[in-house]
Amino acid sequence: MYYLIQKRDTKYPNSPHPEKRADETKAYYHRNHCGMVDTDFFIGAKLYDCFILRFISLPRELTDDMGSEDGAVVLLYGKNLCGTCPAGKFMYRISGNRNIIYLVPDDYSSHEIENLRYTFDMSGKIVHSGREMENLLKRIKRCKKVKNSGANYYLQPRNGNKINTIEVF
Amino acid sequence: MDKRKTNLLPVFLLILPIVLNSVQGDKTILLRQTYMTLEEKEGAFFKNAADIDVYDRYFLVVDNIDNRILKFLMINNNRLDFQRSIGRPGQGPGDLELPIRISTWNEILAVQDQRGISFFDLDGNFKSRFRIFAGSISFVFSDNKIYYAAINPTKLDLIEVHSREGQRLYSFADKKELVDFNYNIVKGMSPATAEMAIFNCELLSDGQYIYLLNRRFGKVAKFSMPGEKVLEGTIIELFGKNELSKAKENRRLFLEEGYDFLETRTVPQYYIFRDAKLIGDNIYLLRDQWNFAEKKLDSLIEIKAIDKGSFELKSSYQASLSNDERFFSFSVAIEKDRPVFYVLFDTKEGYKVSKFTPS
Repeated sequence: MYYLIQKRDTKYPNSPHPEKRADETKAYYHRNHCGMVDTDFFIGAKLYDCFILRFISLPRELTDDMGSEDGAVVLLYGKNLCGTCPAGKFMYRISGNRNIIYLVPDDYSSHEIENLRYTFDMSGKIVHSGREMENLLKRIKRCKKVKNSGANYYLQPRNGNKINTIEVF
Repeated sequence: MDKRKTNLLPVFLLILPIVLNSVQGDKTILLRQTYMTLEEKEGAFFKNAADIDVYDRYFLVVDNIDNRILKFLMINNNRLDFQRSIGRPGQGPGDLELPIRISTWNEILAVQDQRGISFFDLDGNFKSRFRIFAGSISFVFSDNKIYYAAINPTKLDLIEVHSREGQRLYSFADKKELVDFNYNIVKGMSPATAEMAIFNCELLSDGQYIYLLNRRFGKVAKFSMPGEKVLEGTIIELFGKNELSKAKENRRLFLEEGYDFLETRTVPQYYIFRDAKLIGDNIYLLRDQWNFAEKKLDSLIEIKAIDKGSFELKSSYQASLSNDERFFSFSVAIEKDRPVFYVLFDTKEGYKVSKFTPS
């Protein structure tokens, strides 16, 4: 049901596309026949993912390397990761921190990792994220309402390896 | 006596422009405009063209919004026959995301998009790709390497060189030597945005040298492939008062008095030239259409050919345009030992390609 509500598209109530109209109709039906408004579901679902995230631990092999309180894990999955983009400006701000570990998708070549390090003068470690991080990434996206695949995430852990702060950039 | 005078007048009027031209040393050649017709085929239409290029008999268009490169075959000098589309939207291998520039070398097409550089053969087969993270101003693919004018305020050099595999090899073109610029002079502009404005340039290559042409200040430099500067000069004098005023205004805003970006939120685009291409011994410069004095677009297209070895003017080409035609990209080909120019226009009816032939 959560997905049904998520798929509703109030922007296109009169859309010529039958799929969009159908989603809208289902969502309307649900709103009016279950006695609830869709936003209740939406907030509930969002809070659930964010709540679960607080109990998810980051892999030990990452957090052990951080060593300091200003350590963080940065997931670099964004497409707009260039020096002139807002994401790039954020990268310049954090790049001097040695305790940050950067995770990049597995298809990054060693040359691309070096290009990344060179461009932003990154002091921290850059590693391939591996498959384990994909589930975590999906949950972060749902919690942060990120629909596209092009965002980067800054995760600050608490008590060693639990996620405390999530920043999307 | 009077009758003889009247007979000689038309002859005199005909000879006068030729005499004046030879006295000034300027060889202005008039251009004849022909509209290229596009064959009505599925997939042949482009919504937004960011760049064009002519390679052999093929005409390539960078369709920025549809994330692809369109390849046309030029037929009978005035028809574009759609052959194929290269690349497709997406993020995987062979996919493109907002492509902006192309460069062809040795039958291989290099495409710069939002993520990096992708390589295709001219039949559209994907070869390889690598990511680049620095913002870019221009790039050229030559000698199996990518020469990339990178926006990176933390680095001293402007041009970065990468192998086909993406390995960063070396860098050259000291920014301070190109334009001695103080980042604090422009208020409210990030150093990266300021660099993008100041070092706005075109990179060209003939396989032996790299040519850097600055759009804002008209400075040109020639480098050997390993990055040693062999020649430098300026191209402002080749153009008229309009371009001199633009260069002067750019100096005032970005080098002398300063510029408040927070007030206007726009970066003025006072460019000396809009696009440049290298073919044979000449570098062709497409003059920018903006008339600085009258604050409107000129109804005139002007192309200057300069010698790539000395940066001296060789010839000028001119043609009048209809009022709503706005150009921003062009390409050059040689036909019967003469240059012909393919110019991309943005008109009220959509994009059009015109061929300009010396008359």
